[in-house]
Amino acid sequence: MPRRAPQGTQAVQRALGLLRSFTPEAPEHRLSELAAAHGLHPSTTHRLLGVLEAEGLIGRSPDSQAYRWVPGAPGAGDAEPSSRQNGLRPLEPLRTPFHRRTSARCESGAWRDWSGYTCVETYEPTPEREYWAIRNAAGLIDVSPLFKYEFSGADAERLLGRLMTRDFSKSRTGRVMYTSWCNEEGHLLQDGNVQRLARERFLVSAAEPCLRWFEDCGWGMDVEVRDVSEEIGVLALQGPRARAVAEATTTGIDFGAMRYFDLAAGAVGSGAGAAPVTVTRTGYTGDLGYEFWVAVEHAEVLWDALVEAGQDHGLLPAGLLALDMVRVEAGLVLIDVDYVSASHAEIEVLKVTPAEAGLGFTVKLDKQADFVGRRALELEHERGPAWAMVGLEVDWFELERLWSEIDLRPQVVGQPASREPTPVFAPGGWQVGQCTSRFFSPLLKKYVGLATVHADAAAPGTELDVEVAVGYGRRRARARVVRRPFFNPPRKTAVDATPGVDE
Amino acid sequence: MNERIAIVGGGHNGLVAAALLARSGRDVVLFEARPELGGLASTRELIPGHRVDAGSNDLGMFRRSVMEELELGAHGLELIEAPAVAAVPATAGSSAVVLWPEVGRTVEGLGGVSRRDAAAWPGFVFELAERAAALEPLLSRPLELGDMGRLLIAPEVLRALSSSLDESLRERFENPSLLAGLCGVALPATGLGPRANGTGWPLLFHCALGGSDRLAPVVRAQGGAGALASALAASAAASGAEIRTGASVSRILVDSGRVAGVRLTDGERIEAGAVISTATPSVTFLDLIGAPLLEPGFVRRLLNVKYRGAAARLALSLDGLPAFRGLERPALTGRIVLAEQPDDIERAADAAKYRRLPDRPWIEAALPTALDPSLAPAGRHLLLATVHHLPFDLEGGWDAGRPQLLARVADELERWAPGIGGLVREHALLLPTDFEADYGATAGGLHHGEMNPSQSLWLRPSASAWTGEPLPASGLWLGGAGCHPGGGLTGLPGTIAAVSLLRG
Repeated sequence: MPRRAPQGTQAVQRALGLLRSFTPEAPEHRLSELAAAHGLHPSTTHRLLGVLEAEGLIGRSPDSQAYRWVPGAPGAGDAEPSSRQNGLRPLEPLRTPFHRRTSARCESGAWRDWSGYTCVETYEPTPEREYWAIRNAAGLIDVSPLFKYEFSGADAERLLGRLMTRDFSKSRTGRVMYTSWCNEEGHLLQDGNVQRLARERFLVSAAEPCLRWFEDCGWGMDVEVRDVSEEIGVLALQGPRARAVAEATTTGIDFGAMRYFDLAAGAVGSGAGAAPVTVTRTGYTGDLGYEFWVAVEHAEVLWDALVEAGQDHGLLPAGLLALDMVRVEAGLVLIDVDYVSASHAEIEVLKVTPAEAGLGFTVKLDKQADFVGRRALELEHERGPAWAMVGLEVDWFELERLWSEIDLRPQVVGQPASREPTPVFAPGGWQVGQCTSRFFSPLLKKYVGLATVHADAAAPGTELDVEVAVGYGRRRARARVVRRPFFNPPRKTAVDATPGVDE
Repeated sequence: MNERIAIVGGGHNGLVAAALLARSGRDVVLFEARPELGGLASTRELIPGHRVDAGSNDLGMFRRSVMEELELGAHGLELIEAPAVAAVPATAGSSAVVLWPEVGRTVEGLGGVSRRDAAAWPGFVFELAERAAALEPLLSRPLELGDMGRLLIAPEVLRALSSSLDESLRERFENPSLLAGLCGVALPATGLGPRANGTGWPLLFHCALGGSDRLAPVVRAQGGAGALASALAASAAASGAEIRTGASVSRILVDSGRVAGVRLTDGERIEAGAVISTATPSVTFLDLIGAPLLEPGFVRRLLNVKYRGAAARLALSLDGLPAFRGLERPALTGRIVLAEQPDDIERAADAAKYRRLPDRPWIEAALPTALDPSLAPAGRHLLLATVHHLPFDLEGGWDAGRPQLLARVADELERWAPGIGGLVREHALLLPTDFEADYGATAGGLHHGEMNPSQSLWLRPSASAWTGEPLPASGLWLGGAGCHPGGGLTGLPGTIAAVSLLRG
């Protein structure tokens, strides 16, 4: 027997039912058709539709003969989520498995496309509190749009050995390896993490689609590469209180024993609703932190548990702007911002080797396996890379000097990181490179940036000029080459640190 | 360095290479996986007491100069030239057409069908011969840089090879049977219907290598195509080449970028300083060299090679010569094209494109016993029906498709030669999957890579390179139909491989 709602709520229920009939697939309905479909009297239907229309939840067709779906109206039927289809950009924006939760918290309305997914740029109108949450408490970042590929089979390790610059014969189950991968010319395609889930099972995360490349490299090997991007949601829990929040929510994992780049399986929640998770001690913030990998059907359980436990620790959901700020402080390069992937560099000079992108430490020329790009990288190793990824620092007094020319104090505080590449010069001279990410770090009280410069201008302490926008003008600010990362707290890698004590 | 040359594959190209190299004093060993030699041009007893050609049996394109150099006549090869080039029988709604090597004889016959076509025939043959002659030098030796210019200054040749066969034939002819007959000569073993661009190329290729003064004649070897393989093997052996049948190569061994020899499936390892592979490019590189040793970009190019153009071969042992409507006995000696109009072929290609069987398959039939009665026991005739434009990866699989195909082919044969069903005593059928399993023809493609302009001339692998890039191992040479100039019983890829290797 159908459950009857009490009288007063019946109209609401009916109105919502009508509203749900309007979807992108079935955007237009006539009154008579809706009345019949919902078993309502036409006059009732007319009254309810009138309210929905007046509230802007539905519209009228041009000839006003029918009612129409309004894009984005709350409550209206959702589009059938379209797939990313092997990395092709979807026609409709996609929603991550946490979308219902993130959208409920997003007060700013600031959304950004990330690989076809609609992601929160900042939850609040400015990213500052989210930034400070990551550095002083804990931030929770939805990084589900990462592409994820599962490698399984007897030759899974062999394929990774062939694809990747790192030595996977040294990888162990329960560890994560950060690596680069290159094309035949030794030019960097991408960088990403590889989890070893079992002897013959790995999970590769990548910023951009690369299934076909993996398949081509693995042709003839006993390995299956599967795109599992849409089966797994990922939350990054980052900041000094991350361990406390993780411990309060997760069972089955000894976080005290978990080393940097370890992975462990556990569960979040309890009873039948518990969500199995894989936790990796990784992140893109340069801070203490974990990433939680969860099957999409358990995504909301994970989010709710972390947010609830996080209340005691100052946890805030953080958007992509805050993430971009902390990753610059951590000196971590970002594909298509700090380097161009050789898979879509339009011209030769845009391509870089891992060493030139600051990822030389991921290239293991002493490994056994013959990996793609090896010969080119060996040659590069002999003569040395042509470019280097460096940290640049501009001090406050230099900024004050430039801005005083237009009678302002430096307009840099509180700005998100800029991804606009600007030229870097030898002092007073020729261009020697470009600065691709930079911002004024609220934590360090310095203007910091990541720059690619000629190898001979890369020694720490070298003075360079970097172009900065001062009002409408462009000025050269004196900068100093420094080692990356700019910020590297001991807690990032500490093994048995009691959560949050080393601040 | 080891001076021995290992040749993978004992098809006619491998044998030609072996014979030429041995004659030049080189140390040659050839490996053929099957018990008999000849590959896609071998003769097997698929029906007891019958010598059935498994694949090609037309030597019309085989180099006469190579035959002479290798003294194949002395080694037992006897050629029989068929009086007819091609014939299309009549049906209830269409007339019979016969194409003869002699222009006048063809014109005479066409006169009864279409005065316009009869008048156009001599000009067509002349023009085709002229274009074929322009092309011939490019096909019979390794391509040189100047050849590209030679082709570019012959726009009519470029147009003929890049346009659709249907279109260019209709510029001259109107009779559907004549059009179908010409398409039936040109399009076997391609996946393209006559309306597809680039189908002009196979006809030009055919004529260029078939003796450019006239339309490519049908030439058969006495005793079946396998007789060519036997003569080649005898010639090679006489020069000191070692020929090993039943020896299947599982790996081409590469050591720091150089070939080191081959390994057989039984584990035996044979050292060699050079290897000529006559397997398809896919088999050679992905399987024998091994994809993990190749650059991923090269793997992707290999995976993109089109092997379309699968066919099935039905051999029928008949109690007598079938009565194809409107054809006299001499007309039955060449190719018999069973299609009423080019669109019959086009529709078959359409079906294959969507992995389906054609409702009405078009058939290239031959009656080899009409020229050489020794192929079947006394009183029997052998009909080889080749069903072209079949999908390799048939929807639903070939186990289910096999009886359907047989039924449809039987219906068609009955339509063209009423009463033929009553003559059939025995039959044997080779499906596209058999051609891959038995002969390593990737995806059943009989030409080791479809003969279309995008996979021909400079765009087809050469003996030592592929579009300008050297092969991934030094000492490795390609000598099969998958490389320049392409498929067909020409002996040219093997010749070019041998010549290139000798040049170094």
